Amino acid sequence: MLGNTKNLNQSSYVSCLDACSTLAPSGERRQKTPAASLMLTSLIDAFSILVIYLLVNMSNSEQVLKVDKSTELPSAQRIAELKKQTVVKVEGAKIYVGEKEVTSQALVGELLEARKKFAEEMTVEPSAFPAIVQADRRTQYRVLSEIVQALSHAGYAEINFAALKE
Amino acid sequence: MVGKRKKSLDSELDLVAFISLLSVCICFLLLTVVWVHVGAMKVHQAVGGQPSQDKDRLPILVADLKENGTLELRLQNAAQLKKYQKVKIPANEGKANFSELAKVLQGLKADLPSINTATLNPQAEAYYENIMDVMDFMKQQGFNNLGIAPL
Repeated sequence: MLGNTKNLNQSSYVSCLDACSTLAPSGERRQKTPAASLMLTSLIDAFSILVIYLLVNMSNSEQVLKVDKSTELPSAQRIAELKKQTVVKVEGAKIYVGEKEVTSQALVGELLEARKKFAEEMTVEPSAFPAIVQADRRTQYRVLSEIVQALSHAGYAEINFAALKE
Repeated sequence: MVGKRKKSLDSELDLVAFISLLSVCICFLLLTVVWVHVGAMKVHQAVGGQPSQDKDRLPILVADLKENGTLELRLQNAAQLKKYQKVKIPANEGKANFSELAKVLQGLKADLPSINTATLNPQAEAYYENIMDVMDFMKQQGFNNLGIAPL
């Protein structure tokens, strides 16, 4: 029978929190602990706010555009979310359909191929084949007109112009 | 009798696991976060074979955009509104004059509320950003069916 619990009460195995407690400290009063106490409440608040902010900013668009460093997209207010579609990119004097560089003469043919692949990938027949044109804001319209015409010839009725949200 | 042991008033909560979870979430989200939102402005383009009889009767605003930003507006299929048959809006510092354009478009919308179709005819040397600015502005003014004409 443990009649005398004094040794147990005076045990050094006490909780750091209990030792630092000002209301009812256990063990010796103001016991010096080897480890420094760290207030983590504000850290958790900061982490929670960061997580909430990043979750709100998450984007779930179906189409991801790779924009070159030298390309500056124009900005606009009335823009819609990107959806999966054929991407036609203008970088300098080069034109790309997807990731493949094409010449002006081969553009319509390549767009027709892309349209065929798009129709195969989509489970539902699209009412209007969409395409997105990505170009630097300083591009002159003579270059874009060629692409717009090629898209019309290839049967793309819906043309989207990539822009940054203002 | 030994004095009663005082009841501890502090409760402990192990937050280490929670901090680990938050750290992992933050690392994942920082790697996948999108700092710049890219969208797309929809523009319609006529494809051969589509019936155009119905569209011919709808009033359409045609806007010619010059290289220096000057706009020339023409209203088609609405002969009764003679003042919009040809409207010229001079440029403002190399870009389109949006304040004047707003007045014209608002006046047109007031006289013809059903109009929402416009076609933009940019010149060959017109810059892409000016074209986008004009298209964006027209969409804000209620012209949701926008088209762009090739050269």
